[in-house]
Amino acid sequence: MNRAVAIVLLSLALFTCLYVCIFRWVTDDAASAMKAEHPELEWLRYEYNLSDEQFSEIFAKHKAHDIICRELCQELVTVQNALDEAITENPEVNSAVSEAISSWISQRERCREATILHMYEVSRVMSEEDGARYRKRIFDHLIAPGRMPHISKNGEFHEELIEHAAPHSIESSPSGE
Amino acid sequence: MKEDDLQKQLEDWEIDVPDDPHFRASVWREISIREKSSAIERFREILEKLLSVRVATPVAICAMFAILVAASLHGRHSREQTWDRLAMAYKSSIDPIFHTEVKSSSERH
Repeated sequence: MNRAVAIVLLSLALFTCLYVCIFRWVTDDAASAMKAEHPELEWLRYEYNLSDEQFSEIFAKHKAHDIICRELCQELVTVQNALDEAITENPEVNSAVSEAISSWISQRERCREATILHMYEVSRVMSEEDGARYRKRIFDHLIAPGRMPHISKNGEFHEELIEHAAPHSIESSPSGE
Repeated sequence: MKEDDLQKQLEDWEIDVPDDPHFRASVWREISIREKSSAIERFREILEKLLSVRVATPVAICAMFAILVAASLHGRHSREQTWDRLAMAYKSSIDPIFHTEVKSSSERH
C-alpha cells in the first residue's frame, strides 16, 4: 500500500512538472517580452516581425513621440477639466461653454494629428506589408471616427469596437422627418 | 402439568436487563467504521488495479496527453492575453486621447 501511494504521489509530481514545463515553453516569448524595459514595444517587434535595426529605429522614434505625447496629454487634461467646469457652472450654452468645447475639439484634433504622423513614421520603417497592416490596425482601433476601444463598467479596455451614435432612429422614424 | 407450569413461567417471565444508554450510538459507530473500511478497501483495490502494468501504461499515456493538451491550451490563452495587454499598452503609449482615457478610467476605479 505504501509503495502504491508513493508511486501515485511521484506520478502526480511528475505530471505537475510536465504541466509547468509545457506552460512555460508555450508562454516563453510573451513572458520575456513582459520582462523587457518597454514591453509594449516588444509587442510591436513580435507582431510586425521587426529586425533589430528596425526595432532600434522605431524605438528612437517612439522616444521622441513620447515627449510630444506627454505634452499633448497634459494639454488635453487641462482643456477637458475646463470643459467639465464650464458645463457644470453654466446652465445654458453661452460663449464660455462654446469656447471650452472648441478648445477641447481642437486639442483632440492636434492629438489625432500627432498620432497619425507617428503612425506613418513607424510604418515607414516596417516592410510594406507589415506597415500597411500596422496602419490599418492603429487606424481601426484609435483613429477611425466613431470607433474606439470599448471601456467596460469595471474600467477595463477591450479591443472590441462599437459603432457610436448611428442615427438609425431618425432614419427609421415613421413621420419620415 | 409440567408443561402448564413451563407455559405459565414463560408467560410471566420478564427480561430484567438494564437498557444500555449508548446502544444507538455504538450501532451507528459500528456502521460508520464498516463503511469507512469498505471505502478504504475500494480505494486500495482501485490503486492496485491502476498500478498493474496492463492498466498503468494506458492510464499514464492518457494522463500525459491530457496534461499536454491542457497545458498548451492554458499557455496559449495566457500568451494571447499578455500580447493583447501589450497591444493596448502600445496604443495607449502613442495616442494622447486613448492614454488620457485609460489614465482617467484607472483613476476612477
